[in-house]
Amino acid sequence: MKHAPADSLNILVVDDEEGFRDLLKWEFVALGMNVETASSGDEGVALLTTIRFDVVVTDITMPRMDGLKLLEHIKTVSPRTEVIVVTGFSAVETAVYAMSHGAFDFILKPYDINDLLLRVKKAAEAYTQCRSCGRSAA
Amino acid sequence: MPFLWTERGMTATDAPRPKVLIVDDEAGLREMLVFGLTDRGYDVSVAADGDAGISMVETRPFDLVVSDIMMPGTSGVEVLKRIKEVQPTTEVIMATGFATLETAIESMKSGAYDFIPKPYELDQLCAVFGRALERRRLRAQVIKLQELNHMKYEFLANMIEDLRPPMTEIIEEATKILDRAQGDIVSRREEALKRITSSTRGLLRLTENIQHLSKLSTALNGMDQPDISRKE
Repeated sequence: MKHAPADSLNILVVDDEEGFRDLLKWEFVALGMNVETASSGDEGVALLTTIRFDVVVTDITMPRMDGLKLLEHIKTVSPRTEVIVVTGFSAVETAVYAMSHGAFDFILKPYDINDLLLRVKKAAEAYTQCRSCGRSAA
Repeated sequence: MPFLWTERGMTATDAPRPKVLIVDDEAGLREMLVFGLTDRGYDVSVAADGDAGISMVETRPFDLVVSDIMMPGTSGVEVLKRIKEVQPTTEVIMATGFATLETAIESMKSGAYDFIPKPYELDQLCAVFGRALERRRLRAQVIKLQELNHMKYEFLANMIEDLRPPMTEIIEEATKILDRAQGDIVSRREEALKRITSSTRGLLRLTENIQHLSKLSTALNGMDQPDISRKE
């Protein structure tokens, strides 16, 4: 499997909890990734207009625009961007909704940071493969 | 009123009935679904366990499968994975009375169309079927359009390959004559040859533009296509 170099990956972290945002940013930057953060869905939307992200990690419950709405927006404007949904509330319906609307993965808080990093790497691989797969990607 | 699903959507005509497979170890539920779904226009088959379900999908095509997750022996998730190997376009709906987040996520990652908690109403299942069939129809349409598009650009590429050599030859020959390589020419003929050369160069540029457009369209075809995985 072809791995994209970490320094070429653009990651967006969307979470209204500053602690989670900072922790993830620190971890991703340590891996050499380019990281942007947003504290709400609509801040994320604004960043998406200027930057093409490989992977977005988003919380669900946020003021104004929630993570599921953001997921739908991303899949409309940049369908190849992989989205990992993170939430503190375990609900099968929400997970099914997120996955059927194109989420790459669904993770419960509190999560193991190494597990999350692994899933982000997998999502980035999926994005890279899609970018180079041409017609067969459909 | 019973409905049938065709390429154009729901209709009460004699169109082929959607083929549905029910995989569930509850005999009562299987019987209820056979009765209810047949009445609503579906061609229904049943399997009492995962292995029987896998054998059936390996031997005949189905449009839809609704599979229980918790069954003795082969689980519904294993059935789902096998279906996606042998019939990737078949839409699979997972049903269970004991939904866990892990099985739900694993089912969706493995390609399930939806996840329906038990007990469910027939109307509820039929609503999911309707959406799943619509997605199947849209997918088939996208594949057809992509194939058509591919054929169109292949035809253009071949046409350009055939057109370029004679056009290049026309320009070369006309240029030789204009350079007086074959002797002197009258001015009226010279003007005509200049017009021929200029028009042919224009045509060559046009073929190059078509070729660029073709390459661009092929590249874009693999990027950022609308996601049809969403249900609404």
